[in-house]
Amino acid sequence: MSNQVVPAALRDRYLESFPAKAASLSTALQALEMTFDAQQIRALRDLAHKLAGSAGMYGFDDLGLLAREIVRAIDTGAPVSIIGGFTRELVGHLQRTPVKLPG
Amino acid sequence: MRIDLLEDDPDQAEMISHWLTEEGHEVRWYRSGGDLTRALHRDVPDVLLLDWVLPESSGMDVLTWVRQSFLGRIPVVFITAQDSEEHVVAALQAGADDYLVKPPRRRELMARVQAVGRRAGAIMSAETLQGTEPYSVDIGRRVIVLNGKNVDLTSKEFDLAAYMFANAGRLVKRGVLLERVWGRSQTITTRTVDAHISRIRKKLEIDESNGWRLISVYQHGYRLERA
Repeated sequence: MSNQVVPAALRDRYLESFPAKAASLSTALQALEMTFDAQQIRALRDLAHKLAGSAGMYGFDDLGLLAREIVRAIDTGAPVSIIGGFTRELVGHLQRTPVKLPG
Repeated sequence: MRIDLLEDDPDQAEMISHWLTEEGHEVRWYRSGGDLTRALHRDVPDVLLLDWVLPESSGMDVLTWVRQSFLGRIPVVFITAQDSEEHVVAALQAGADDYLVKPPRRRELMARVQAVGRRAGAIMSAETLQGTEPYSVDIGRRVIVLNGKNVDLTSKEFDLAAYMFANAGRLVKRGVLLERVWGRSQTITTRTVDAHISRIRKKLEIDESNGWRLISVYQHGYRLERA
């Protein structure tokens, strides 16, 4: 977590979106692993790109960095196994983060 | 300031809007380049914040359009995850005033928005508008010259004429003119705008012989355009 001050209401709403974000990433990765084509790559990249942009603003710097790794892996033409590894790590991180944080 | 934000991700738009609103700015959020450009036809913000990667037209497309479409310079700041030197250089060369890599930090974003707004104000206070021939609109000296002669205008008439020239080609609502020229707190009506428009049309001889026309669009506002 960064020291960026985030209003509780906004942070809670963002946290509540984590399960849906994790599910979308998982679905996109499954589709990519089944069919490695431009459309599936774009779909996964778009999800990671958005998360890379927003996570740090809400104080979740580590999530943002992981999402950025996915974008970078895709942009540099990394094999799907590498992309998949980063994505699964990000999904796990999203799933482990409690929807309600203390305080 | 009035700030237009182009950002397709609601999470990011919500936080950026929150920061700006807390600082006293008025924010209008657009999810697509199409929505934003339509809005810009109606009203111009003090600062424009653009994301680069969008589902339809990109932030660069919007920047190019803005720079081609407006005589008056709208300050543009990119807020984007595109962090390569090539992207930064391309945006600045295309006319962006500043560039922030995501995720933006609140205080830095606020400082940069203030800075471009301040610079734009400073530029406007010393600038002669381009592309207004045969008129010369000198914002710094607050003078409009036609055929070598200063046109005798009151202060409000000058403000109104300068605003119309700065936004030539666009439909400007009466309410926007009221706000920009007279200020929000004034208790005057749009009839005052109509009266002033009529006077500047006459004093500046805005007609086909001078290559311009100032048309009234029923129930909307006015457009100053090349004849």
